[in-house]
Amino acid sequence: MKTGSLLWLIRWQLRLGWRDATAKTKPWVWIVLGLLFVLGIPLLLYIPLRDLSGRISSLNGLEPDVGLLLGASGGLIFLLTLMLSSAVVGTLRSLFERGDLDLLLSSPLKSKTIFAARALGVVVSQFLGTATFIVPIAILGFLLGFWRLLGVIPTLVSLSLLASSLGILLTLGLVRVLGVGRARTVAQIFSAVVGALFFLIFQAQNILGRGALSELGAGLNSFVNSIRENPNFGASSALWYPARSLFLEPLPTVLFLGLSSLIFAWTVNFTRRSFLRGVQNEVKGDRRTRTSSKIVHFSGGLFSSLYRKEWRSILRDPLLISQTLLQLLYLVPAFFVFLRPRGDGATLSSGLLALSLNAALIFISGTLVSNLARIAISAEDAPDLLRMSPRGETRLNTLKMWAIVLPIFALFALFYGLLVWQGLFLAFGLLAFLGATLTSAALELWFPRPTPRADLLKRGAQNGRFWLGLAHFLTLAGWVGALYGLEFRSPWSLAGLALGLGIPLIAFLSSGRRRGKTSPRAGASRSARA
Amino acid sequence: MIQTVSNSLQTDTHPPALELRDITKRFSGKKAVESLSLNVRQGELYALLGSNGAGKTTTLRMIAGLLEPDSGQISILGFDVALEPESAKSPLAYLPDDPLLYAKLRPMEYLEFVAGLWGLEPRTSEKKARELLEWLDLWKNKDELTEGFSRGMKQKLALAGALVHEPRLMILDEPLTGLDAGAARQVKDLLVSFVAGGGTVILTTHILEVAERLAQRIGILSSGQLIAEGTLEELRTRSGENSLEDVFLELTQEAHP
Repeated sequence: MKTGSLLWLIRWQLRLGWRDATAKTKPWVWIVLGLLFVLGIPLLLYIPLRDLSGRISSLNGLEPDVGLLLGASGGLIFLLTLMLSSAVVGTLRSLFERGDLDLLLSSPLKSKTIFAARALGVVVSQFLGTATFIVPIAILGFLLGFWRLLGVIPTLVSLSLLASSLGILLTLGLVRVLGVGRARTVAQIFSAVVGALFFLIFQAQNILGRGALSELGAGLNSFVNSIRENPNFGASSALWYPARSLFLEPLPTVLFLGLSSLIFAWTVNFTRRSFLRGVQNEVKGDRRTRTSSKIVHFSGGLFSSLYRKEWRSILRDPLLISQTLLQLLYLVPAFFVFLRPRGDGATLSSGLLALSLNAALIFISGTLVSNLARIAISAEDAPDLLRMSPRGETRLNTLKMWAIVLPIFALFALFYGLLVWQGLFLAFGLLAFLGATLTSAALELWFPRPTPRADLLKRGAQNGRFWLGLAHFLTLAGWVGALYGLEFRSPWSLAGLALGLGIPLIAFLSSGRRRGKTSPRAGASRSARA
Repeated sequence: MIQTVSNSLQTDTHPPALELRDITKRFSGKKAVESLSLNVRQGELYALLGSNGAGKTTTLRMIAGLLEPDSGQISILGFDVALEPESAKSPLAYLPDDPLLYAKLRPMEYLEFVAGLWGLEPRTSEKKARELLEWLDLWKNKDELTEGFSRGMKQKLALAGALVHEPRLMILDEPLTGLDAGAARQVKDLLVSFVAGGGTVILTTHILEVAERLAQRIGILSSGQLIAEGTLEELRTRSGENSLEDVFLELTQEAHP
């Protein structure tokens, strides 16, 4: 392989990527997990479904009509939108997270080669991110005799190329107009909004009411009919080629793959100068951040100092806000429920609606508190400053926890006010909310995973947080379960309560054991990231 | 500008500013500091020299309470760092080579936070913070976030953070790294007047000229052990060399030929 060629660089990137991925988890674990997911699940599902293979394999002979092609195209557009949102974030990471970029750009390698290698990295991550969930379905289809479903794989490759091309164009456009820092924020917001779309679609009936939903359905129907009747959009139209490639039709598959590859090649060629300009301006543009000129008067008091420091740091970091506070977007559907007069075809009874809203508030507040507490406690910018201060790290972290939790209580008091106003307030709901938020914060307090704040949103920052994430999820699930159980007077409420309190209790006990083994002062040195 | 410590005269009745007794620290079984004993008087500027990996930073981090020694005892102004951490840390300022700052805070906000950590009275500390920023030529940058500061500006802000709580013992790890000539002179003048006012300074540096000109006593570490200690004259006499550079090279090579 020629040194300095595109393939050579890709090989290096893959090697580094693989080492990153296997830094904390043994390579064989990934391989076994991958095989289990991609082959194990289809094999497992094949056993109960194998009797249906005769009927399913007959689908190979099916000639898709316009309705089916339209539905498949809609699905592809939805998937492309999801992939695009993650491609924008991926492009920013891949092209502007400096890492080895300074080394590469200062070497005699052609900038085109560097850019192409990075852009291909975005394509690969898009493909793997989606294929992990979709390819097992294609394999199951293949096992059941519906071999045409294997068309999903080339279609995903095409979609990855298209999403990456659009993502690169959009990102470089954003970087050109806004600079890297702000583009990163916009990308995160875009990504969060697209994520929330899933939820909004799921909640469409509650948001719009059954009447409005029927109107929307009728509108969609007439749109589908107008497409069916339009001779330009017949089943043989080239417009349906992407959808047809899903069914492994040779010409559509080859053409869709070829066209998306051409678009990708053109994008790489067209945008490489913008990429270089963006990288060069990143340092210059983001150098000095001037905030509003306001005289600071010292507040005095340890809690007040900590409170002001934490919230100033969080609120001045748009990227962190976009990653955390945007979770409040998921409360939008709840607002619709409040604002829409009840009885308009609501699908849930008042009791169930109250339970669902209370459960949503518990999950969202718990996740929000957990993320904010993680930023404040684990991602402390200058941990050594706190350790060497006379106050003691444990006391400071406990105060930090309260500095995070109290404003969240104030924020959610508004939502609980609305619940009271609408007659949907549940006393157990409020208790579970208090339990969930406090235990979520306490888990971060007892299990801090030091991560420099500047690295918090970088790749790999989640490494080693799997068990903590699972503990958070189970704790919140426990509180929601306790709420349901109490409302229905079910003994299962005890199981929920046991989870909600038991997991934090175990965390507390084991953190005490860790404190006994190692001094809290004996931490690894971390430099300030100013 | 520089605070004075009222009771600065070193007498037998005053505890040493810093006392290390038989300190040992290992990392993964490898000794970083071995049976180190050190006694620094109040009102003294002590330079700790050593090659890379000699154990200087590890020693300073143990003094600041950031690392726990495997054995031995550390006292600051008579207070045991392990047993009375609050009393031991209150008069201490530690300035590592990588400044302990917050990217998203402005200079006055940073100093407000440090003042809060050390429990200072807000009105007095606010005045002091402003004076420090003006003196260090950072007042004109008061509306900027620290993330945009140059290395030298960050170092100066961290120094302001160290001084705002009026320490009696300052521990500085390579304090002149990244500073321009003007700022370096400012810091050196500051250290001299701090010591003249009764404060104690312990610093590490690779710039031997700094130790030669400023330090009253010099300790040389090699492989975690104190291989020589004394005034510049005493070290010269011992090794028979003229410049501190020659003395340093002679002694460290002697320890590890």
